[in-house]
Amino acid sequence: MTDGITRRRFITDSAAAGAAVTVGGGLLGGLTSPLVAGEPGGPGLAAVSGPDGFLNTIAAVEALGGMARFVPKGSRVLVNANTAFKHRGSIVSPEVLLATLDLCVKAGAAEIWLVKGAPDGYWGRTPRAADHQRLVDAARVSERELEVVRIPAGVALKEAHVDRRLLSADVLLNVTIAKHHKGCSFTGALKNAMGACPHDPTCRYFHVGANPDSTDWYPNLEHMSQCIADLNLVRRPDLCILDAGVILTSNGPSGPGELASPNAVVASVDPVAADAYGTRYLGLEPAAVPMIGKSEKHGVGRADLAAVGVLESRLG
Amino acid sequence: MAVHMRALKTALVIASLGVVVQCGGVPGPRETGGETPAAGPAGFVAAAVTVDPWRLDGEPQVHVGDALFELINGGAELYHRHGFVQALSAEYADGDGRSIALEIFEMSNVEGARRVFAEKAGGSGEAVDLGDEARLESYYMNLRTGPYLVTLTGFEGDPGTTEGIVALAGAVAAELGGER
Repeated sequence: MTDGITRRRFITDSAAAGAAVTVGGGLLGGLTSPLVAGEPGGPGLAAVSGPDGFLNTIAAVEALGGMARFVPKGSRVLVNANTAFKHRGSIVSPEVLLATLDLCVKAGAAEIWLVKGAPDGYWGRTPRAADHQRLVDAARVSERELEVVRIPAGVALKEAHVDRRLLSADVLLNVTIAKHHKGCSFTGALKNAMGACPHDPTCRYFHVGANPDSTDWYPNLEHMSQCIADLNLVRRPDLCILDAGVILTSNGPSGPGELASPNAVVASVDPVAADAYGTRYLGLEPAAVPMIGKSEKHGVGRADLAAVGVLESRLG
Repeated sequence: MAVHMRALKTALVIASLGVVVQCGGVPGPRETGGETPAAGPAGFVAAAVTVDPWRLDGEPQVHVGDALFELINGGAELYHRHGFVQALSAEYADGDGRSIALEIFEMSNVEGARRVFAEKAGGSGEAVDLGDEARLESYYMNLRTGPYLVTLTGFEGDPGTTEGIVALAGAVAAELGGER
């Protein structure tokens, strides 16, 4: 099954119009216009759709050159996974997180740390958990020791409290979900950077820093968006994995609410591109999500998907 | 209120109860002039009743003040804006692979609870004759009874889970009481 993947030959969507490329016949068979992933000119973003989030994740990462490209043997990996909530469509599917851990282990990671632990019952939501208990056990939860980091180039955020492993880990993986967010309309990879920060003081400042007397938790979208862009200057993820399997399209970020089932996983070396691509799952344009443009302005990444190089494929 | 009585019978539970309390100001002023909070954390936890075959999976957790942000992140804003007092979260399992999450939010007064319910539930879903108002969606239910907001969420939307949601909602509403 993996033969098609290990060939690492893919189709890039070079057309600015972004026409989808469907690869049928096996995991990534039936290829045309092959291009070597992970090399100059290779795709910077891969979106794989199909019924199995675990396989989608593996295929998406392989499409970018494989996890070994991002996780050197013996490295210490920090996985910032959005598992902060509990409802369906509000957190990364355990299938996607398991696949990520599996790829890290196979790449030879020496240590795997999760920024946050999973909620009760999380791993029980996938029948794969029992078979992959070694993966669950392989990932330890960070002790949540904080460091204050200065952000000289920050516009609204000049310093932040962050998990110290965000600074010390060899590799940072941003594993999140594309979903509705009441304050920002959309949340994905960029906003997930807040997951490595405590609620108070850092995240609180995102919400009310511009107007502490406000009675609204989202009084200033521009301020929050700028803070998110500034925070992303601290450390750019080595790889972003965006779960778009089952996602909240209303009542985000916590839900419950309306659900959509794109049944897709997006992997990208670029958090801005990941979010720019991911907005489509909410029926939005990237320009409607200010944090994307502000992060691009900071040089965190690119929202021009044609320039990033997109591979779209379908499994099953 | 009935919940005051529960404070006594559950006093022993508090020793093993996970209570998360975080002090500090909330972003906006709470509504004033409402009812006094009905119960402390120990009494509150008794609302996590069980109905066969649904059993509690782990200890219920009570979240007070800003600890709600640790539970539901930005979703806490809505509750704080309308007079949040405390929340209870619990997980149920039926032994057959199904699970349901229970969240109860106690507001400082009925009007605050009404407003939150209106924003959360809107007019969507199927009206259900439970509590003071309730709406059943494909995999979850929002219910209000007095100053309490109850959300029961299934991981799946299958008929067995929906039956469990309705049964647990009725039992929780009865335990909490309400305006009726």
